[in-house]
Amino acid sequence: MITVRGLTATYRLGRDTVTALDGVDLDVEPGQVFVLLGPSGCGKTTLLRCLAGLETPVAGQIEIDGIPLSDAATGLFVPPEDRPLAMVFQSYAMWPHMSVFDNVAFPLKAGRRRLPSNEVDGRVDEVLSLLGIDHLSARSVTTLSGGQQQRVGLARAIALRPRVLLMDEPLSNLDFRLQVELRGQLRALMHELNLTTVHVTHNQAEALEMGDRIAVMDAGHVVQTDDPESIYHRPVDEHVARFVGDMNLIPGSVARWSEGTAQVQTASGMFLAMTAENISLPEGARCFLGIRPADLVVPAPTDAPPETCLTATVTDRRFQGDRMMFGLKAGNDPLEISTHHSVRLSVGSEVRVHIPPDSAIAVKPSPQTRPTDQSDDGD
Amino acid sequence: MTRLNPLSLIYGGALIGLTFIVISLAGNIVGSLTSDTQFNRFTLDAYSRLLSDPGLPATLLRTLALGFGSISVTLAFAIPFAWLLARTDFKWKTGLFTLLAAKLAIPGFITAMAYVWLFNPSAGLVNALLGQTNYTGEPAFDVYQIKWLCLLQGLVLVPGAAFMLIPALRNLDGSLEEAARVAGVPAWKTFRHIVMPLLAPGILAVGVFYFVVAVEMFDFVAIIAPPGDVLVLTIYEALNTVDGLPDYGLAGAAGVLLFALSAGAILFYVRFLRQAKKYAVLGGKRRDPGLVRLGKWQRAASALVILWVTLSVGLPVVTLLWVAVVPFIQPPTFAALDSVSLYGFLDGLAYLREPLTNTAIVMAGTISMALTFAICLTWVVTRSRSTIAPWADALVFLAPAVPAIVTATAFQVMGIAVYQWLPLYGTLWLIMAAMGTRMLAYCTRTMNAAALQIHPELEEAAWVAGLSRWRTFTGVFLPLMAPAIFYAALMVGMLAARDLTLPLIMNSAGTPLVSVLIFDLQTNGETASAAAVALYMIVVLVLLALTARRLTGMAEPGLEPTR
Repeated sequence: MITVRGLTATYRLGRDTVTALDGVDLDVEPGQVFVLLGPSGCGKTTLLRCLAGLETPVAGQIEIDGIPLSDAATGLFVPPEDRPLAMVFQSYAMWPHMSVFDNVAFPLKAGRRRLPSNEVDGRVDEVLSLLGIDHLSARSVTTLSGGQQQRVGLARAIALRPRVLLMDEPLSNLDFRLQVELRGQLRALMHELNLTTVHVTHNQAEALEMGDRIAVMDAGHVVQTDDPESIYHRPVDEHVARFVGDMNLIPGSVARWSEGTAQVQTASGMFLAMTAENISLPEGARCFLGIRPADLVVPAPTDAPPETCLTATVTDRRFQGDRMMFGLKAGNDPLEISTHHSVRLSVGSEVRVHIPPDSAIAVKPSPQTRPTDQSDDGD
Repeated sequence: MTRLNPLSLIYGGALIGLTFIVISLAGNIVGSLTSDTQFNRFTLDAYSRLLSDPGLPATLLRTLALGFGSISVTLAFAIPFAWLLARTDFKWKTGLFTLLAAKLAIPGFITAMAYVWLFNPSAGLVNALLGQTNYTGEPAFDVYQIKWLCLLQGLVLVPGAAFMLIPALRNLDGSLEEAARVAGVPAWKTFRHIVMPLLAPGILAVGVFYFVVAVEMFDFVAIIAPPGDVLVLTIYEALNTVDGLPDYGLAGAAGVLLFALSAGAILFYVRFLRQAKKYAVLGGKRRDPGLVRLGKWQRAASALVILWVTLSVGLPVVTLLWVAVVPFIQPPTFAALDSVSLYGFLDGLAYLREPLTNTAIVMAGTISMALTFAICLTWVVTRSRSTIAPWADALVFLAPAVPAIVTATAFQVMGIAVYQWLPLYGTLWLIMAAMGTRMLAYCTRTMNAAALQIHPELEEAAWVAGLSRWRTFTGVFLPLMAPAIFYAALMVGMLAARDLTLPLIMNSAGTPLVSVLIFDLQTNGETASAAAVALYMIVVLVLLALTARRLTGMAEPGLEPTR
């Protein structure tokens, strides 16, 4: 469906040339909601804009449905209006001098994918009612709330019946409650319309909930591409582990490694852990023992094997409503534990903590060589 | 005993500034209602004389034609130039920018003078070269026409208009265009249906503003009087009657009419801006619009720039250079080359001695007046939360609508009215007061804009930390405003030095200024000296203007209207 090979893009910052994308490869299957996830400046928005034709890559190719859209080697570059896609902008990019109806109708009347004039009204009404905003049709877009503008932006894109829908942080300007509500609605809609979607976000909860597949990006590279659960439970490296949800990372080294599992030596003892697929952990190499705060069991069950337990001191306790968070210290290593709110541990006491081997993961440190340029790429 | 609150100094300064603005507005009304400068008897006689003049409708029509004609020429160049500078990868951006800034400093009346020397029907250089003058039959060109005035005024107003349009173009949210492109709308349709409608308010605003400027501009009309009156000429003629006695009643009445025209345009502009505001702020983060690649259009763009530069800078300056070195106006022939000399430049220097001092005094006086009052007014309007703030704001907003010639008349009338107590009439002081008032409006606009950019929390922080409001004013507000103040000072100095209208109307025979000297030399036929002094003036002013640009940075030019 979408194939990206070796995509490299740069931009100028004063006199310097900054690499925003560095040889990115990507494959998106038809009907997938594909999420590009990463911190500000990681290149995810630049990648989306390259797909849209709003940026010109300096190297690499982009194909949609086997049709090349951009190939730096041959100089091929299809302008944005001739690409079979539609885009929802972070700012919504509502044309302020047009009504809701006209914002949706304008590309259908004046664009390359224009409809016969007698079909425009029907198409606009159809998408407006699909998104539940048909009653706003005659309103000026400047009078709409953020959530309503977001729907108009989506309506404008969907009305084009694109092969690919690009969404640049479509929820980031909305308040939290509305974001959560729309995540589910959007995902359901994309699947109902069987739309191939590339969705950019820096919000890991949004990525996990909405994505069929997630590509985690860092400093112009795609670090890991996987389904949401693998991303969450089997991060390939420290960057992914830290960025996607909180994870305790206890420093250690690889004692033994075989495909899928590893023994990690830490200051608190040796622990068995899982590993992500397709990575190698040479024995003796530095690594982390990673475990999610909610996966730690405290106090450890009495039948837990001693080699899956460590002793730690409770340093603080934070009530969060449905959960109770504890800060612990195992030797010099801090640990965060999330428990049911009814669990009571007194600060200063010593507790035994159980690390279930199937929840622990051996995590590679992020390569030091990877540039950590944090310059803004617009997201 | 109560101690004087230092803040009252600021309020006092603001009040004096406002008084001057009120004088420039009210002086004409007072003048128009009195006759023979008898200030104890009010009459509508002047209005009935003005309105019963059978030539008035034609004068008004010519005035409108002059306004519309000039802005058409201005916008035809200013829109493409602003677009080239703000939104494209045009190769000669820095060059174009510098030329626009430099052109801003060349006085309009000097350009007018050069064009008279080139295209006047009896002895214009071009006509003479072609052998077609009044004396040989039909002249090839006759500069004394409304269409020439439109062309020349239009060309001169291009830099100010372009600088005013640049921010509008820069502030356009780039994602609005991108959204159209990604939705399949081709580039030119995006330009027509998205960019143009969004720019329309900005373009209209600039159009209206420069319409007012074109209608009140006296630089060109003073030198290239067209057949038949335009309103500024009616005023000038009323002040310079055949019998030598100024007719302040008629001048005042015509001034009120001209002010009404300007104020009408400005009000229209305000209403439109208010309507346009509803387009303005939409949620979300805007994206800088990218630069358009011109490609093969680079040459077309260069050609347009070259055309403008040739007409508005190249031709006048070359003409001045030639006229300055020949004893009388003659086409550049081999015979003429024999008479080339530098006497014009030497004579010019001799003539300059006294006017130069006077001009320097007027510049210094105008700068101090305009800046002091403008700073006080700006503080009152943007910071004081005083009840007079909105009134001050409205008055300052109206002030630019008062044409220069109207301000001049008003101060003349007031000067006569108070002469027995305060003999300022006919001195540099009155010229300074009038010019200071005129510049006050300009300065206050610039400084209000700058003051609004400074977050009020910076001063509130000082205030809450225990500093008095006066110390906050001197310790936080003024230092933060320093760049804007400095820039305004340089611009005011430049505008004051080159102004012809006020000194010409206010009749400073005993204390000539450089601009009036050039005008007089030109009128008396001492063309070489006139051209030489004009060249001296251009060099100094251009250096001043470019220094101002350099010192305040080239990044954000013309956030405020200049002319």
